[in-house]
Amino acid sequence: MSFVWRMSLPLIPMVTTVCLSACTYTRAVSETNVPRERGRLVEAAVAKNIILGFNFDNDEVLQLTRKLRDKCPSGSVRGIMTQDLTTLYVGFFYWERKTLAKGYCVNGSGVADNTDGAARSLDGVASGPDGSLEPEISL
Amino acid sequence: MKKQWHKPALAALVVQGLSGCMTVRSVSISQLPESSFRQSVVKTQTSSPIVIGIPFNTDYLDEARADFVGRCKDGAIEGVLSKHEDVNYFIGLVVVQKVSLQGYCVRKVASVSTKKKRKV
Repeated sequence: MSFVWRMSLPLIPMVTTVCLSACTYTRAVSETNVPRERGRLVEAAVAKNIILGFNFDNDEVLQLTRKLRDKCPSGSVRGIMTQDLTTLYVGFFYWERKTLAKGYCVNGSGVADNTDGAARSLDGVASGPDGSLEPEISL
Repeated sequence: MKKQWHKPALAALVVQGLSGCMTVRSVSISQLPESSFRQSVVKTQTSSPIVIGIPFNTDYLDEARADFVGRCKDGAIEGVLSKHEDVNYFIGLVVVQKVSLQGYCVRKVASVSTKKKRKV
């Protein structure tokens, strides 16, 4: 083995570490129904730092709904896109897991008229804007 | 003559390297509209490469969404199928991340109102 090759061997992990620092990878994506009336765009995110791969829960994701709701207190959030991202720091020793949700804050009565099929009659059963099923009542 | 096996092996390696092996990372689907509203299909797809483990951006997700929403400006998009997948080239040295969105552009408003029903 040549001298140059032997000297450059320790550089390989160092260069790899530097190259992969702050690299962001997408883990998962999801998208819900997009409403006709697209109001203000709201965004919420939760993140967790993980060291050496030790992670014992993913409970931070549960806060995402509350955070998104707080961004749109007087309306409903529709057309939500979620992204699950992982950003590596210092090689693979330390990374950040981030879950991002973006949606449209829709206010007013326009919400009930449409958006994700909520208002349509279907075999005598109508579903509310929150997705819950309720029996149809004729007037 | 003894080294003739190198050629098919090399050819096989090149074919394997050039071809893309696909891996699905995530899939989601939202509520489907009634069949009468499934006339207009909108779809979009964007991608971003990862070369030797180095990704370049995550903007392709936002681009996909903007393009998807822009294809149905005067209606709602329902029955959205989102698919995130990786395509591996050159034995994984180059990975292309792809996100595909597909849904139905619903332009008509339903005549039945939930609000009306709830008043009772």
